[in-house]
Amino acid sequence: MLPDEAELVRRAKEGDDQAFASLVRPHVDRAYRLALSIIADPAEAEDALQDALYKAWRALPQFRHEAAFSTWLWQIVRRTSLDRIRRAPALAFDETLHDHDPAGDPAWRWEQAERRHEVFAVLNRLPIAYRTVLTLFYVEELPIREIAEVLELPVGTVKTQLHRARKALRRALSDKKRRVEGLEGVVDG
Amino acid sequence: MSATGKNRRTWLCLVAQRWDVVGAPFPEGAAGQEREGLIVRGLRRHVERCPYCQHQVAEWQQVVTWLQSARKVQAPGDLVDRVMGKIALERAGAAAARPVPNGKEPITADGRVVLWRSAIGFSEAPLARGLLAALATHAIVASTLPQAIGVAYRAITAFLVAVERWRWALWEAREAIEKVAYALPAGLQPYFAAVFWGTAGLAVAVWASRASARWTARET
Repeated sequence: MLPDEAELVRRAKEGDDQAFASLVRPHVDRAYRLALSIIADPAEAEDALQDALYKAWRALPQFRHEAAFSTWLWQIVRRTSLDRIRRAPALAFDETLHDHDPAGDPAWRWEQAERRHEVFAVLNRLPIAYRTVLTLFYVEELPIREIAEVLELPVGTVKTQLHRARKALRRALSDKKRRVEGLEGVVDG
Repeated sequence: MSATGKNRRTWLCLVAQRWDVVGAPFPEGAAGQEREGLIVRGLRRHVERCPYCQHQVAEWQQVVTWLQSARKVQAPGDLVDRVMGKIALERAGAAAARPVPNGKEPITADGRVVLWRSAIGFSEAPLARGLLAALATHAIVASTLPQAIGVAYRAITAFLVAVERWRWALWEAREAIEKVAYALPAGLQPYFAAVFWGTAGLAVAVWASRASARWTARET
């Protein structure tokens, strides 16, 4: 933990709300993406994150610096998201990314959007555990040990889960591609 | 040799079937730091000379790039402020419900009612004793008032001795009761105080009446 962060934790524990806000602000985007990877619905993920931050504020006196503050916060976000979970067909990351498309050749943008859409469509159909571990590893680039802390699992289990998640994602993508190529063959034929 | 188009479906690599060539040897995020060793180095060497595996790796890297595009997703800008607003509301609510935990929060009107009732309730016994003492003295001097007043005076005095003996226990009990009162919604606090002190007064009256009857019986 950074010295500044330790100081902010101390002040927040003493009731300084601004210190708490400064403490969580740097982690809020990652926490949102974690919630989104679990809930797969932007509005629900937002609500879950609000709940999680509020819970973190209430539970702050129990924070004992055994893990990094961010890890502790993500654990709360994960648990809160799992509590709220419900199956939603929305393509969470993909939907929220529409507003962030860079300017450029419209045809190129369309193709990129299509391919990205495919990846996230497949990702959102994977089991929650796979989505979460893939998000933490590839999107957030957390080390395995920290992922294990956030997910409250042994390191070995996380490695296995990551391997299976990657395999499942690749298989799902190649199945989808095969289906598309098969359809193209039918159309061409 | 490239592995594009329909040809790639016909290519096979036994190593790729057996090992996780896309996950193991390449620095995708933290993967490079996590998996090291002979197998990884062997796989790296294999991938360098296997077009099929090179294609698999390139394809996976593209997927990873798409996954990483999710980093652009951000939480709504005002989310933390909204949470802080909720926290501020909770603090305000807590201050209203608990008027005097540390002397910093303002005491609300309902809180004052609870405090006044507590103070009156706690001082009513000494007041009653003082009043009865005055009456009993007058009775002794004038010998006109019924003897019951003197008996009641002794009963109240005995009660106060007991109160003095258990003063700290009662004090703690009173504090616990007040905590309960403060935990209640502000609107219910005056009712709680009224019910509590009413019940306590009734209990004292019943006890005093029984004690008085016992002493009266003993004296007769």
